[in-house]
Amino acid sequence: MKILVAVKRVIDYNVQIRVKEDGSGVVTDNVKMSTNPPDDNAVEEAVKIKESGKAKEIIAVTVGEEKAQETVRKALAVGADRGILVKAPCTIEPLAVAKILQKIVEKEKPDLVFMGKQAIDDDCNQTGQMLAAILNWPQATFASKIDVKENVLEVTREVDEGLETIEVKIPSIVTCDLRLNEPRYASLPNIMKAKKKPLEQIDASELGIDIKPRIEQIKVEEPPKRKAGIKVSSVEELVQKLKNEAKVI
Amino acid sequence: MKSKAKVVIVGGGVVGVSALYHLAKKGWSDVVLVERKELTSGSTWHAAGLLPLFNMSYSVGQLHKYAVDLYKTLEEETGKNVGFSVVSNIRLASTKDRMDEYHQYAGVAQTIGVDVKFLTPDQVKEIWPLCNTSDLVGAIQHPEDGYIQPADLTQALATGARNRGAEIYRNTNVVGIKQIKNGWVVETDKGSIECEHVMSCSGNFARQTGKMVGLEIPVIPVEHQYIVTEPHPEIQKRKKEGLPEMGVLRDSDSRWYMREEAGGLILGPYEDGAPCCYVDGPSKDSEYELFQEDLDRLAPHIEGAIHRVPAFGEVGVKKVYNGAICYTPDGNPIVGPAWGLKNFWINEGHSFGITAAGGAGWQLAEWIVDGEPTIDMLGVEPRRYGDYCSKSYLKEKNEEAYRNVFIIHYPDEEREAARPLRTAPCYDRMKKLGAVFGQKFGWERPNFFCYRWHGTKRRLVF
Repeated sequence: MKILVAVKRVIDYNVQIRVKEDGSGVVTDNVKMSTNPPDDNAVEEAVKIKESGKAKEIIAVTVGEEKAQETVRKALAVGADRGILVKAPCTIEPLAVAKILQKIVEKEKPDLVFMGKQAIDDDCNQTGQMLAAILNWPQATFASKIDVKENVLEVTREVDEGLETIEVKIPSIVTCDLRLNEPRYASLPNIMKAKKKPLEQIDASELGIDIKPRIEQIKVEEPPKRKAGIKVSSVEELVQKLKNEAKVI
Repeated sequence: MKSKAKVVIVGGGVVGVSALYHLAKKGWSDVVLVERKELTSGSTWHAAGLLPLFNMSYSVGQLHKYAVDLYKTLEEETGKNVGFSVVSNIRLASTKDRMDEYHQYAGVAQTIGVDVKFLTPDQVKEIWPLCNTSDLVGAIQHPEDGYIQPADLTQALATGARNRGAEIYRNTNVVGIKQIKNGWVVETDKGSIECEHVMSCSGNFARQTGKMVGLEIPVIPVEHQYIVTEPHPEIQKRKKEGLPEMGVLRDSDSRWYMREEAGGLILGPYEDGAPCCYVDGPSKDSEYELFQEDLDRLAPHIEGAIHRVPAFGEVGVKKVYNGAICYTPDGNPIVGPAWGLKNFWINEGHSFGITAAGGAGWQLAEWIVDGEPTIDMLGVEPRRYGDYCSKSYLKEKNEEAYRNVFIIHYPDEEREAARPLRTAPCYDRMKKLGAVFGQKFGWERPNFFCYRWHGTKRRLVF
């Protein structure tokens, strides 16, 4: 079995996001970037399946600028076998990513495609679903547990009502939840070895698809600043305020 | 906010807060500190917290020694735990030259009263069982140093200062500093403060603060990275058995420091090619900022670390910190009165800020309150710099200072980067005559003459 894992390079989750002064977006120059956290879970799950002997090869793929290959290298360091960087300029929307992944799927013919349930930068939560639609493959989203069985996957999903367990036929698309597993950290020797693993670069323009943005961004602004708090002198006063002013008790 | 004070300190990192603490301790309670964001949010918060006593300079050595002694008493005084782990510090030597350097340094240590011990490779192994000692010549140990939690240290100093009447204004931006008769006015976005003295402790913003009063403070930070691993079973086992922490290890020849952290290890290399950052100052909203890691540049040091401590390569990398550390052209901080301006004090360019903060604050308080420092401060004297320190000069020199942190310091060393900067009309003639130059205040000056430099017969003429 072959697993394709899609990973995305985003602003690190610890960074305090700053909005550009002209409101055209957020500051990304000189800002620490890392792999989208749920994508780490997707890579980890693929590596676990390979370690259990049920998969033979893991391919990590990303779409983005030259530097996005760092994200693929990280996946290679924790256990992916080879990588693909699809070079694309600046903003690229979920539909375009799904179309690119479709081309990669057609070329690589994986049995499973894993990715994070959504990216922490745009919060779109669309790519996996769109890819499933384009490929006409079954999809299992928000996976918090995956069991690989004969020609099917048993996937547990976290939904509002609780846990839902479904079965999907292979090949299929799985989008991963943070609770799926605990991603491992790569050791330094493995990080160094990952530099020698094959990483293919493809230009998005060579794939013959339309990746033009469909969404016009009008303005990006910061959320309202939190107002300064006050100190209360006693528990009674605190209870009073919570009751009468905040109206939470 | 007060409208008048004796001293206004600009910048609330560990350096500024320590200066405030010491002024208050000296009896000047009418002192205030202005911080742009939150205390420690510049470089203090991401410091690895090491307290290296090892320093070739008599001035810096004494500042560090004072700080280490002071930090041990802060919890008792302020009730705040500063997380001081006195685990000792071992510097390894793989060559005889390096060992000679340690012996020379031991003279400095003895002069200023710092306790050092020499260790054989076997003794190193006893303290650091995970260390490969097969190719070592020996080591020097500082039993008294270790590491501290920088943010907790800053808060304890702030408490000590506030208890004595000093005030700290956070989220307050300094927008201008004007000289008036008998003093200064510090203008902020929340009002102005009239004062007798101003002290600049603004770290990564040093050049911006300097510009407000027409000074070129020669500080540009350099990127420094350190790697934090996940717990290692061997270290966790040691902890369970109640064995002591293995202490801070420094492999000078492979140019890194290493210490235990939460059952894992921290590695901090001083590599070639670390670039200057914030060349034109950080963004005005910058706060708790880190840069993209670049492990490629650290590769030879990582290999060296795995050779020395194989356990380091056996566990995963949890996090890589890449943050700004201030540097000056010679790597020593700038502590003292500004040139050409009355009652303007510079406390900037601290690349070992956590260790130096205590001593720098102490001596500046002595200097401001009593009129003179109580130790020889020549090594950190601001007047060694001046207008010759242009931005391009600083970029080259500060990067050189960073990569030279672990070089063997020979007496009277002259460093090569960004030279010649200023030459006299007779420079070319002197050079033809075999002059070997040194640099003083940016000028090339012959240190000695040497002809047939490349020949077999070498004759030195002094």
